[in-house]
Amino acid sequence: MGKRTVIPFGPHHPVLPEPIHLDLVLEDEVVVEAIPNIGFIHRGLELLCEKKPYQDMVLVAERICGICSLIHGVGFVQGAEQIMNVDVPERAQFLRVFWSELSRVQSHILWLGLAADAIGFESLFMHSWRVRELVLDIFEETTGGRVIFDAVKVGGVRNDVSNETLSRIARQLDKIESEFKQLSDVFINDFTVTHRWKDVGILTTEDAKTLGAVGPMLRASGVSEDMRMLKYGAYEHIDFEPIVEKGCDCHARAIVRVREVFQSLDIMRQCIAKMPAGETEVKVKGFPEGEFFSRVEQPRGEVIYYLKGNGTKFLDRFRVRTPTFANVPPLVKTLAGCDLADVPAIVLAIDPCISCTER
Amino acid sequence: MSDLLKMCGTIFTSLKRKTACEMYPVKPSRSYEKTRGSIKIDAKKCTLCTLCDKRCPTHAIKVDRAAGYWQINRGQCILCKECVHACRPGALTMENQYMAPTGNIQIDKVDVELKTPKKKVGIKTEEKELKAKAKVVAHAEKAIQAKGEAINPADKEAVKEVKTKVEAREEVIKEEKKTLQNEKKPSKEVKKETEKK
Repeated sequence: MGKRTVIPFGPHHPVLPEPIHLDLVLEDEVVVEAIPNIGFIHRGLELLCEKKPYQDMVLVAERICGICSLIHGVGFVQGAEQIMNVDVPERAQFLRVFWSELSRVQSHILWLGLAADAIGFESLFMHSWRVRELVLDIFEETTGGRVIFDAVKVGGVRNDVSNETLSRIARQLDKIESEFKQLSDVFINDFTVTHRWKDVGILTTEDAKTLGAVGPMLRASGVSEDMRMLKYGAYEHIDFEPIVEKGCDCHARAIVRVREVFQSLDIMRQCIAKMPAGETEVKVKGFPEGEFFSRVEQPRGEVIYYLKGNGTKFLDRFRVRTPTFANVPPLVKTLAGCDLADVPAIVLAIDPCISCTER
Repeated sequence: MSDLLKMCGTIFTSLKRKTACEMYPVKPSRSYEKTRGSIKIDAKKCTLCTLCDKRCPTHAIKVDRAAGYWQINRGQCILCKECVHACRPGALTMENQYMAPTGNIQIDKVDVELKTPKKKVGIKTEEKELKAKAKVVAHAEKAIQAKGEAINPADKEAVKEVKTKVEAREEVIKEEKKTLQNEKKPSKEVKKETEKK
């Protein structure tokens, strides 16, 4: 046994967009143990439910995360609607699915860019974000926002999208697909990328199940689990299969995300083709009384929303379990036994969103 | 070797392409119809109804009816568009251009004239009110009769004054009603005649 040293990793580190602290116990260059530490940016968003009416809490829920904001809103709204037995119009459901998939594309391309940056592939990072810009343009055109959309509300959606705009967007999606196809080839086959990610950060299928990994982390370990298969919202009208890779390493996680981008583009086309006409919102009367667990699939994995209403306009309890929180134990497991130089790549492979985790 | 050159296609095509970045703020940012840029108020249309103040989830908007101003804290505003939806006279609109960046938190204050709308009371509602007043007066008179001299003479006079006012107004309303009915009746007859023709 060699001499052990403890190296602090984060909260400020070049690869980390957000602050997480890891105490890395090293033996020479090999990590023996990693001790995670979070709590640098706690904002107390859950407690806000005692001060803000439940309709305004949608805006708070969307601000839990800056990258997957819309799906957070969808999770909250779904919970409130289930408690109050609100029948949401079909068009609103389809629009929610459309925007959810659009934010999945946006988030995955953002992550792929960041991951390329973390392994030192600057030009790939630049081009990924150039493609992401096209996605953000669609968001701005349909919702009015580029990062925070405020598009959903209890009982429907805030803004409708005309059918002509949707058919124009369908053509834009083709452009995004052709642009991303070139980059995806680099992510899957390029020598530098594969050399850096292959057989790094192995998480076996058994470990992924027992430690409760979610999202692309779980699917890259060969487990076919996707919350969209619960067929919430308009997903019941849409055909798709969860994407599974059996590599169990960082490269498999990247490939899952690359393939999910194409899948999401396909789901969006299905949404545009099947978009029903009609209302986009219903008037909601009364206040929520009861409790509900809402589960939705985010770009990073499963997010759970727990809402408890007491018949007033303020909620009794509002709890969020975000995917990054669920992915921290698998992360610690994968870090044990890896090289110090691989730590940034492995930490980034779970797509850490610490602001979500600490709420 | 071919694995090493995967990126080349993208790089060569982007040599011909224009830069993806834009020269903001030298050139105005590109925007869409729905882009949420900033909240703008039309002071002429505003009625200081305070609906936007009540609806604002971040309390960025402050409306003071007494002092006569509408104020927004641009730092607190999250551009959720709730105030624009709540505004009945349509004074608030969402501009699709962003505000110019500033160093400190910008608070915009707009002076608004308070326009008090004239109350229009219909004859029927006024009649109801007068009947209620007459009841009160009758009740007061009964009380005066029962207690006799124990009551202040000033109060007695006040009750008399109110009674005379109510009676006078009732007569006026009766006449107005008659004139209204007279106006209505011939119009109906005229209509019937025209139908016959």
